[in-house]
Amino acid sequence: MLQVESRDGASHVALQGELTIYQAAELAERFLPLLRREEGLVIDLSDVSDMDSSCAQMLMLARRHCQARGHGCALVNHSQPVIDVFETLGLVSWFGDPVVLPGESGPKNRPGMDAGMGGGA
Amino acid sequence: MSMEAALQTYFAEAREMLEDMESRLLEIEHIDAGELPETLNAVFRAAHTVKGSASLFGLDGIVDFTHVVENLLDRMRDGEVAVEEDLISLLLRCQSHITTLVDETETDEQISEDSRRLSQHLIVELGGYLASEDKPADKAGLPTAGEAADDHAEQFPADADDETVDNECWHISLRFGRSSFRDGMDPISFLRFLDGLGTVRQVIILDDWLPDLADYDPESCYLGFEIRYMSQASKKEIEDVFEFIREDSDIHIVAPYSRLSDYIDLINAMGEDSDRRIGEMLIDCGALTESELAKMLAMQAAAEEADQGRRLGEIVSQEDDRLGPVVDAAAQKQTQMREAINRKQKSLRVDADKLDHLINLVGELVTSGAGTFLQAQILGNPELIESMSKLNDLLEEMRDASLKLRMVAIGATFTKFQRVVRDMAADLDKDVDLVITGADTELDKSVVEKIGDPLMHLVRNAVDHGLEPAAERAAAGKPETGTISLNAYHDSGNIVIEVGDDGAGLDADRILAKAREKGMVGEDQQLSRSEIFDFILKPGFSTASQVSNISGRGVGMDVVRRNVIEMRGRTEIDSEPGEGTTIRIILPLTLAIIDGFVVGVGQAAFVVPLDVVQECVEFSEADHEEKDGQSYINLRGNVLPLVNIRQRFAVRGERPKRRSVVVVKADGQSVGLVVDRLMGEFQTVIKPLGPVFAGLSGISGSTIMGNGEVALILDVQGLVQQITRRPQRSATHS
Amino acid sequence: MEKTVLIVDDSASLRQLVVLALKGSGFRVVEATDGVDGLAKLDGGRVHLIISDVNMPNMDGLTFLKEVKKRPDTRFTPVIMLTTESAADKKEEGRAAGAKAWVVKPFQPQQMLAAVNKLIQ
Repeated sequence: MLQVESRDGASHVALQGELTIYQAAELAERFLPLLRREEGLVIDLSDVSDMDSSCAQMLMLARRHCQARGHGCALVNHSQPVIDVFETLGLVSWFGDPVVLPGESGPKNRPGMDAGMGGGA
Repeated sequence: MSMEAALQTYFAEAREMLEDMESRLLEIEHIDAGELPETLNAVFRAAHTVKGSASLFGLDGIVDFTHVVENLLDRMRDGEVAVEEDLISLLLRCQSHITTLVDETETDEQISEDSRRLSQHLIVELGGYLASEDKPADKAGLPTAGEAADDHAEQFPADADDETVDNECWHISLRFGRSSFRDGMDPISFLRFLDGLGTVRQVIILDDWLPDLADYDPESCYLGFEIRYMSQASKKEIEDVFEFIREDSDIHIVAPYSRLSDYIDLINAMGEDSDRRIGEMLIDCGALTESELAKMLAMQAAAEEADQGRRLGEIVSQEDDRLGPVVDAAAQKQTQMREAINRKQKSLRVDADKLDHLINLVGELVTSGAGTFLQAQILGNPELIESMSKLNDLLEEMRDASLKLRMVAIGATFTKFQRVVRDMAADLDKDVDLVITGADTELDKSVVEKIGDPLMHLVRNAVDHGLEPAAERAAAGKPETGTISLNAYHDSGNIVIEVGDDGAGLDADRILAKAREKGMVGEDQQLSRSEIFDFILKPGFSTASQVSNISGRGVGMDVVRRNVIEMRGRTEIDSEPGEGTTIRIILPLTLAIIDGFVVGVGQAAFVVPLDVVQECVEFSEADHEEKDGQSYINLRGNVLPLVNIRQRFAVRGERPKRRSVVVVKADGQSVGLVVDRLMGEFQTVIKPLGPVFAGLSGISGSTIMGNGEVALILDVQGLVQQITRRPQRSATHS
Repeated sequence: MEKTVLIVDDSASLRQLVVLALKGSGFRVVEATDGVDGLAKLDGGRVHLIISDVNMPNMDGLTFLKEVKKRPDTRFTPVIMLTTESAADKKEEGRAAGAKAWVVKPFQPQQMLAAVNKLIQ
């Protein structure tokens, strides 16, 4: 479901697998405490195979929470299912993170990302 | 499809505006100077709206012409062009022409060559009034006939009070219920489904309801969306996308090209803290422009102000300072807007079919209530009887109230004739005043729709034949100006509409002579005055010695009579030589309910409209005789043809020993209906027959009785006609 | 991703109609003849949507629904209940148990496909 690594004053979180309402409670239990760490958040979405609105909503909460406290909260390496969901819900512009569309350069090659993170699951 | 629907709405709206414009123009000659500015303003507004909306649909032919009219009206409003009779006549012709342009656009989707030419011709005439003013700066406002098409856009930005928003997309506001996720309802799914039915142009996700971390429940849905949506689907189809979440969520759908007030309704309906917030969302997703929002907020404020007596400026300045300049402009329009809004709030447009359905249901409710009451009486439980009787009282009140929903004042119909009389008088070179009384008399909408044509015939006839030429009037010592009166009033369950003139009156001798000449009456037959006058409404009878081009249109006055009879009404004529003629149309108050007289034959029940029933007598075989397959009885020395209902409708069952004859009269002919039983009076809600029975002669409808059984309503008119037509020969030598 | 729909109804022809409506549009359809059979075929949450009749032998639709809503691996799965117009009281009971989507019998295959698509697309 998720892997966390604290590095350079930020929590690097890799979300993985299916993230739907069935996982929402557990994800909340493991993910939301990270918001209390009072540090920046980098969320890698490359290994998310499915996401529904409930988990997208949790990412919105995270972004808003961090922003209100002056911390960064970056979403990176959106997988195709995540891109689809974000586009449907109007979240691409809500988050405003760069999203790499298929056909352009590989999704794992974003500047500022730790290349080693995605596959660590 | 939605575009087509919007266009239909435009045509209806334009006609309404044009009717208003016409009646205001006709008013102008009769009102005090003090009321003139308001009336001119109303005329201007009507033209302005017709043009403004036409431009949204790209109806250039209407826009180009109406623009010039509007221009002139604007100058009149400012007092730069004086009001005079010829000018009003010209404007009335322009009004007629715009109506033609609208009609042609609707039916042919284009404007005929003739109308184009007339447009140019009228524009030149209008130009005469515009150019005569010494205001060269303003002359630019008048396009010449040829170039009218090009310059209207810059000069007249659409700024009608409640303008249509230039948005070809649907706007959907969605607030998902908290339990949506738990119920398996994911917004993603609905948005994707929506995208299959059309194109989601833009989605804005709202986090306004997403709580802080402490209050957040990961399994609750806090999401809202504003969606700009392009689709050919109907509103129903779009609503159906959300059928499964309708109960727990908040969903609002605004159609393309909606009015600003629809967006106000949306904002009000969403009931959220800040109107400004949802307003911004509307701008963000392209539903409204910034200035449209400003105008809308101003309108909303104006509406509130109307409620609370607060000042517009204060309210809007609280909303947002940025809007200052736009709002100032809007504030000047405040009065106009408030009027528009008030008008909207006072009345509610309801589809006539829906209303008919309601009335139908209420009618059935009343009959089923009567049936239940009957059961209660049989059971003999006093408490039950008491409460049923209370319930029945309420049901009847409800029926009366719902029938009133269909009632409209006849005024609008009457007012149309001002124009007719005015035009005819000019053509015939007569001076005619039209006096209207009882304009606020209400009658059933279906009656109003059908009464127009007969009234038109009567009014034309009165002006043309009723009123003498001015010289003749003067010679008779009457005022040269003739008077046509239109009057309406209620009279014991009927509505009476009178068309009167103060002309020469009907010449009974001449009418009788002509009737004899045409063989419509026997040489020695004695007729009362009113029977003689009746001839002028009969087919094939015309007394006018020369057929003028006005009344003589090949359709006689018999059309009047036929139409009135179709409405189950009758006509009466009063006339005094030298004093004038009054033709009275007497109609039942509503076409949906009649007082019926119920008769039984075998197991079946039939309803005879009570107003045609003359009397009931016992049927005696002794008085009964048959000739040429038609049976008769002798009723107090008169021969009464009979219709045996049992035979006529092939009712099965044994014939009882005692039978009755219901004497009915229609078209001046009495006929006896032979039935088994008389069952008494019964108020009947008429239900039209289904298509299966539509061809059934002698039956005009059906109704449901208190006991739940269906009874057929007899078409007495039709039954009588079948008899009078068939045995013409036998009737004369019997 | 192919989605799985479970149809629970004792009428074989109705199940056939549903299969017909959904198969052509890329859904996998699993059939069950009553509530008991339906519970057996829930397949540990691999079902994305359930369509269930109300009136069935062995275990009726409402009992089945309540059981589905109790199980952790199916409690958020959308359920479409099939109803006849006359079963209004059942509808109330079903709503209370968490069935929000109702389709009135008889229905056109197209209607069923639309209903399913609204919920899992």
